Amino acid sequence: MMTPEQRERMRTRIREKLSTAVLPGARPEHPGVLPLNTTAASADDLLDGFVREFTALTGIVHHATDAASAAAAIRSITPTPGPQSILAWSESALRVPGLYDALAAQGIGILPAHVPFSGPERTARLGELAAAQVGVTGALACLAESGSLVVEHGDGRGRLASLLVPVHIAIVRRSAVVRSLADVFRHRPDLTASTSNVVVITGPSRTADIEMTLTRGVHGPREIHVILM
Amino acid sequence: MHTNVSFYRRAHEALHDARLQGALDLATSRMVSARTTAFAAFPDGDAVRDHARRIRAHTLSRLDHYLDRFTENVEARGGHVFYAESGDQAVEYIRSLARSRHVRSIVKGKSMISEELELNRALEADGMTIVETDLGEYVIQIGNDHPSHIVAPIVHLTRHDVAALFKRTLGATDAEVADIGAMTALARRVLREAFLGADMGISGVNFAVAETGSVCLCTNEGNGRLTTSLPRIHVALMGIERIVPTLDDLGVMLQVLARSATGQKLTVYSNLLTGPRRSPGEPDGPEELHVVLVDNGRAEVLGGELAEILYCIRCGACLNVCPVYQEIGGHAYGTVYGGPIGSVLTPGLRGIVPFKDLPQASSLCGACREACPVRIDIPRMLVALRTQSVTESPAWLRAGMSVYTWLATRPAAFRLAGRVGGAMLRWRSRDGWIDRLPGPLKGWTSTRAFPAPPKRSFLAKWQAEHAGRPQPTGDGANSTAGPTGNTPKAGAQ
Repeated sequence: MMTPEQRERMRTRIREKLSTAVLPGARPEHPGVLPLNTTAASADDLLDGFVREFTALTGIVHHATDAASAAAAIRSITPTPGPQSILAWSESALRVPGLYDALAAQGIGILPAHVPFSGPERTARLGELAAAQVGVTGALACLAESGSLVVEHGDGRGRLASLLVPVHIAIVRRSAVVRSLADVFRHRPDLTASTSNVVVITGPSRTADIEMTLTRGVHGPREIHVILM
Repeated sequence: MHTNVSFYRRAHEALHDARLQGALDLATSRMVSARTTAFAAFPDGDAVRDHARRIRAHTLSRLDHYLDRFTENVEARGGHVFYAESGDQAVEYIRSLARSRHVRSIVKGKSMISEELELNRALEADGMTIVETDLGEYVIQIGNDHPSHIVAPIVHLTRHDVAALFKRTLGATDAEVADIGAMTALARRVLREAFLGADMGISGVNFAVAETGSVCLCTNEGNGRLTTSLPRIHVALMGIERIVPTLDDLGVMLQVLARSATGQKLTVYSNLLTGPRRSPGEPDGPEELHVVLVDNGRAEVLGGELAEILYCIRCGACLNVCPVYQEIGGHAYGTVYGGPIGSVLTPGLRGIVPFKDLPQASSLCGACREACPVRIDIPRMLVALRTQSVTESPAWLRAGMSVYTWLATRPAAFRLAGRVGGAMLRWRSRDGWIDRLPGPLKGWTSTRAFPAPPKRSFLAKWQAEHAGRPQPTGDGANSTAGPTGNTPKAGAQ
């Protein structure tokens, strides 16, 4: 906790400096919000826009109608054959009832996601999670303008499933597509109330640090997939 | 990292480094075209930039209020906030936190402010292992080098430099450094081990949202997410000016930042963190979150005519378009923040005297102001700093300047001085050229020669030719200075 004295010192110091600050264009009232782009766009237009942008970022789009077809899509994306364990959000967070059973039928098990703060359990758990090839999450929204996924972590919705693995798969509903990040923030001002972490993901992990040459998968996933339900 | 070697010496060396010149040409031209293309395809891009500027200006004008709100909200979410008036206080807070939590290994995300604090050195002195995890910053760290660009720290190195470094420091095989993809994969393996074993993650902050108490980190690599998700303690270091009021404002900033920095619509990961892991439901994330608000000279900058530099969102666009940066690169500036932004920020934070050359390293062409996503008037502040450097310069220079001021405001004395000076210069000239000036003036002639001034000054000729003609007045000047009147002769002198 910041002590009241410390807080007061910060406040006083900044107030004192503000009295002589030269801040061109500053207004005492907040500048408000830019009007949202409300040009009529059908749900199909938005979806097309998202698919176009997401694909341009090397994202791959799959389609599924139920747990069995979603599990089949996940199996087809999984880079290594045979039985294996993956990272995934809880079944209720993924909102595909019966998905875990359908995956089990494909030889795919789900790793326990909870990471303890310390102790040998922590090391063991991280070791298991880091060995997985695939992570499956949902997404709060898909952005038509930028091909992004807005991923809201929380109960049963771990961060590592979209982060630690080389291949990230997001299961989303067609109705989740909106135009832009502004739409999400405007309609969900309470977004951060329910979770410690929201991430907007726009394409696979990338770097261009060496000779400005684009390379994927430097720290996070090198592949990103969406299964549209 | 300010060294004793003068700015001019470093700039001179950079200009004669052919490899650096090639790397800078490639990098800056690509980044400039990426940004231009991104904004060309951005509907209402100008309106969004104007709005972004209004948000920055307003926030700073009520910074006391917004810092208060932010602090309250971070604490309400279970995070800790520390206000560090100086860099030393920030370093001390992190050191004692690390000691009290028995931290042995630390991973770090890219953070310009940690460079400013020289944090790594202090933590290493305490026996902790600290690993930079941004690929470029990692290369800098193992090569004992300094970043040369805000968003592209190793623009000054080639793939061969990096390959040689990986072989020397990591014992990499030929196959592991065969190409950029292989080197990136090697770095992923090495750094993944560091992430999994780290007790503490230290990150920078791109924006902090007052109304929600969130910090937002933008990275393309994902190292920012790993740093803030895996270790059990997350320390977020931010300058006190990083605040935006609302989530909606954050959305505006993220759009202009990504487009200006790399030409992307959004950075790959815009990572919004609000307090530590919420147990028991959330399966991962840190146990503790500490936000360190770093002042370190910023309040001082806020209280003066350079306050506008605090609107900066650290996109690096002004570096890429700057004709001086394009030629000399980031190292020549000798400071953490290079380029136009650094030439204002560094003297602002640390005083003009040791950095008086930086505001001179500009042609005042205005390219930086044009490129800036929040339209910061950098040239205005460079001029202000030049003025300041005169008042704080050595006595002989101030005396010279006041002599000049005296002369320049008295036409008769100025004309006389012109005649005397002209005569002296003609006396020093050879075959109509001056190729060497003595003493402090020699810099003027080190790379070029000047034509000797003519016996009759421009003013004298003008008056002779225009004797008896009506004097040009105001906007009518064009009509009196006809084709017979002016430039051809003036140009032929």
